[in-house]
Formats: sequence, C-alpha cells, structure tokens
Amino acid sequence: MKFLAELQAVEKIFPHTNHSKDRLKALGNLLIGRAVKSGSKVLDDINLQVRAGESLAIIGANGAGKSTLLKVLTGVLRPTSGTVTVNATVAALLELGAGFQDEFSGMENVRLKASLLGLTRAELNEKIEEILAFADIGESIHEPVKHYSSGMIVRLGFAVVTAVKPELLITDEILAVGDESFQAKCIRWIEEYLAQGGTLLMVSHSMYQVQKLCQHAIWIDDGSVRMSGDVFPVTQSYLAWHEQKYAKELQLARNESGNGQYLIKSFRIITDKIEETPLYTIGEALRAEVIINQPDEQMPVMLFGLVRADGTPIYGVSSDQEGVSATKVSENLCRYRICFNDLSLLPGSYSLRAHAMDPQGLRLCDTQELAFIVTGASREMGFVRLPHYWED
Amino acid sequence: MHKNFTLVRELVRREIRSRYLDSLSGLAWLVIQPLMLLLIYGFVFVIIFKAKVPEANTTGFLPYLAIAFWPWTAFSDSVLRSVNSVTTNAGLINKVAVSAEIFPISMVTATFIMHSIGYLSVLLVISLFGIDIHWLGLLPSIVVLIFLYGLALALGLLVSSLNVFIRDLEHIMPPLMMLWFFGTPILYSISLIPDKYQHWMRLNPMTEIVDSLRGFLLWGEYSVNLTLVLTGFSIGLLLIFSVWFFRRLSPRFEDFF
Repeated sequence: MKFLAELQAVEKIFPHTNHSKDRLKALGNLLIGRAVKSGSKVLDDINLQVRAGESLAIIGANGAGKSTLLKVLTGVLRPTSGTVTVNATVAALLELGAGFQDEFSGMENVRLKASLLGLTRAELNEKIEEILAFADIGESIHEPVKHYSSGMIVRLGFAVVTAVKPELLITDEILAVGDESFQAKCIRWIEEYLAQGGTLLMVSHSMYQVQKLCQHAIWIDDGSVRMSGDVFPVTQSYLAWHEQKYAKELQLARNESGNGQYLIKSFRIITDKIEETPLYTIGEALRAEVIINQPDEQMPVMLFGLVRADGTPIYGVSSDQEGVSATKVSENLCRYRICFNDLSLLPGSYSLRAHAMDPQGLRLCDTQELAFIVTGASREMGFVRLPHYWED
Repeated sequence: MHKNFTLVRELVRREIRSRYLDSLSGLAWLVIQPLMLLLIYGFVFVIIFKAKVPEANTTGFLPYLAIAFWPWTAFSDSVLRSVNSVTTNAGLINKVAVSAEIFPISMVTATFIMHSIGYLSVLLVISLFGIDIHWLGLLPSIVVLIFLYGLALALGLLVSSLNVFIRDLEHIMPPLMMLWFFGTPILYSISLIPDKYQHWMRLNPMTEIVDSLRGFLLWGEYSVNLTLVLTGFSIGLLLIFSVWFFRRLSPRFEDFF
C-alpha cells in the first residue's frame, strides 16, 4: 500500500531565538552541520499515514501542535528528527491570505498564489475564468487587496485552490472565515473533490465539519498522538475530554465563589450497573437524582437535558414547565429525581445534564453532566426512536 | 524547478511593478531617473570639480564615470535590497512550502533588469552627445555584466540568509558598500593610485569588471584578458559556495523569524 504522505517518528523542537547569542550559536551549529537539540518541543514521535482517497482530520486543543504538524507535512518546516515522505501534488491552505500583497490587485495576487501552488502561466490563463467565478467578488478583483474584507480574501484564496485540484489538499481552519453561503460552497466543493478521489487533511475546531467531511481523525495532545482512528470515537473522546476539563474549571470556580447559591451538591444516575459509564439498551429506564444547595426558603428550578456526546441537544425538560417542585431532604438541601421510563435513544454515547436554576427559572446557577452509553444493534438512523407504525 | 522558475518570474514582475506602480509615468522613470542622475553628475564632477583622469582625455570624464557607475549601482542596489529579501517574506515562507532562495534571486534579477534599461538609455544619450561608444563592445560587456550579476547573486544569497540570524546586517551593509564603492576605481582611475597599492586594488573583482567595461565600450579593446577570466572563475566559485551556504541555513529559517 502506497501512502500519499507519511510521517515517521517526527519530532520538532523550536530552538531558543530570543538572544543574539543563541542565534549565533545556532548559526554556527547549522554551518558545521550539527543538530540543535535544545529548545521547546512541539512535536514528539508523530507517526502518520495518509492513504489515497482518505479524508483525515487533525483535532486537538489550542497549542497542541496541529499547525506545526501540517507545516512539517507540507515542507514549510523541516522536522528536527524523523522522516517526512510525500508522494503527491499538494496544495496547502495554511492561511488563505498567505502570500497576498496588500498593494496589489486581487488579480495580481491570484497570479502569484497560483504560481506558489505550482500552476504555470498557461494553466492559469486557462483557469482564470473558473477562479473568478468561484471567488465571485465581481469588479473588486481589480482593486488592491488592502481594501478587501477578510471574507473576500478567503474567497479568492480558496478559489485559486479549486483551480489547482491537488492530489492532497491540506487545510488549516480555513472554513471558519467566510459567510454561510461561501462556507457551504466550499464544503460542497470539498465533498465533490473527495467523491472524485481527492485526499483531504484538515485541521478544524468544528467537530461538525470534521464529522461531515472526514472518515478518520487524529487527536493531537501536547505534541503527540493521543488517539487515532475512525472519526466518531475520536471526536467523541476529544469532546468528552473538553467537557471534563471544563467541568474541572467550573468546579474550581465554584469552590472559589462559595455558598449562597443554588449549587448542585451531588448528581448521580441511579443504577445497579457496575460500569463507570453506565450502559443501557433501548427502552430501558434511566433514573437520576440531583441534590441542590438551598440557601433560602425558595425552591430552585431544575432542568434536565439529554445531549449526544458531541454536544448536540436531543431533549430538555424543566421542573417549572411541568409544575414539579423539589423535595426537601434537610434544612438547606433539596432533591429532584427524574425517570426517563422508556429511553428511546438509539445506540451511541450520550450525556445527561442537570442545570440548577434560580426559583424564577431565569438564571442558570450550576451545571453538571454525566455520561452514559446506549448499546445495541439497530439500523435506524438519527438519535431517537419515535413511536410509529406502518400502515397498509 | 519549473515551479521555481515561474515563481521567480512572477516575483520579478511584482518587484518591478511595486517600485514604479504608484508613480505617475510608471516605467518611464526607468529611463528618466538615470538620465537625471547623469545630468547631476555631469554638473558636479565636470563643471564644479573639473574632474579629470589620464585615461579619459579623449572622451571626457562623464562617459568614463557613467560606464562604470551604472553597473556599480545595479550591483550595490541588488545586494542592499537582498539583505531584507528573506526576512520581509517571512510571512510567506512560514505558510507556503517555497524555496527561500527565490527571494534574493528575484530581487537581484529585478534590480538588474531595471538598471540594464537605465544603462542602455545612458549609453544611448552619451553616444548622441558625440562620444564614440563601441557598440560591438556590448557583446563582451554582456559577459562581464553576467559576471557582475553572478557576484551580486552570490552576495545576495549570503547576506539575505545571514540576516535571518544576525539582524544587524541591515545596518552594517550600507556603509560597507559605500567603502567598496570608494575602493573601486569608479570616480577615479587606478593609475592615480600609488604603484605599491595597485595590486591590492586588483584583488577587488569590481576593479576588473569596471575596467573591462570601459575597455570594451569606450576604447574598443576587445582582447581577452586573463585577469577577467580569473575574475569570472572566482565569482563562479563564490556563487557555488553561496548556494551551499544558503541551502545549509534555509531549512531552519522558519525557526528564527
């Protein structure tokens, strides 16, 4: 099996460059051919293969090393050690406006960008109409780029890439800019490109886009691969990790802010199941209990929400809508219990969220979340099983 | 390789345009500017200083100066502009996989193209004023100018890559080039230098370059000169060294921007 691109044991260390002494030392080391080994390590033992026709997402928190990884892959950066092999024509959009010069017209910049992406003058002349049509910025193409909005620059940059049609397309968080309709246009183009056998490697913080466009995902954490494989488990674990991190921060903030609030004291799923993340099958009952701090005589409002692991909301219900009030358990504690007696969720990872709100049901005071999994084999699509029957 | 060629062509176009884009008459300045300079030098050196060199009794001082001065300007301008050529394109080098050497190469090339146009127009005007320019000498002159281009390229590669690591180069280079200018027989002739210093000046490749140009274009002496061959040869060696030097450093440029 031939890979379009392969990274083997790639390590990248950025040398210290703040002091002129460091710079001179580095210069000397480079000239005599000695590797610089001290500095900040950004990538550590990365192994990665990109197969033809695959669409691969690189996800990870800010500063995890995603962009550095792309730069190493595209040859912008040379790794400190390890090997990078690329057997394909590559177009990388590490930043859409890269290489655009302010003083020059959009047209001039398209020419330069096209030659940066390896298009010859003849090829460009052939495709210029197509590029302008895709960018769709009208007569502004003859205006200097400094008068462009960021959206217009993005349009132009992406339009040039559509004309190049590389074997491997590498994008870094580019779809975040541009208006809705242009984003939709780009996504449609990428989908078409993938359908025609193109290969995509993208960095994105939008799990929606990642799941929509990619089959596989790699989760980079602190410079090394934390998880890789099919896009859904990887993105779900990644999101869960974020939720946990956020919950920890919330817990810290809560400890600092002290009492006098309707805070959740405990939240548990009532179950005799032994797994850490309880497993359910479709149609089982899911019971949960939440105990809330109650600093005064008023009763807080409770809102329960069911979400998919990626955060997509499925169902939410609040106590005041249904005229339910809390049960007092001690002088300053009260309790809500809920039972979803026919859990009609399709197999997948889910979370149950408990939101404690003030007695008026207006202000959110506290949130906690518990994960659970629905197992089973089902060919139904979507998140829930709706009651239905087939008619003659 | 082909991609880099297209890129250099595009960058050269861009550089030439950017220098003349905002001016009213645009590219006309390529011709007007050198002619104005020629006028000023004529006034200062011929009328005020009454400058004379023994070799230029028949032609006058101004053609003697002009023939050496424009190639020098092209050379010095190329090297000085190259100093920043990599660092100012850091944004691009950081985002796109591109061989960094295209930046000094296109800067030197663009500067040489622009000054060649100026040089030709100056030669034309000089001959219109009745000075006998040996146009046949243009052919060997082109070889000499290619040597000069090679020297500018070599130094451009060296200074542009060094400047990534040692930013002080931007401040050191202009006075150094000024020193070089006065160390080259452009405003004077080497025969005015005491004999014992003359062989030191011969070590300067620019001395051979400007003297050959004068020989070819002004006196019509087309004989092959061993020193010139040697100069070309050493420039070739220097160029090979500069390319090695640049490529040694360029993979790590991104780490030091």
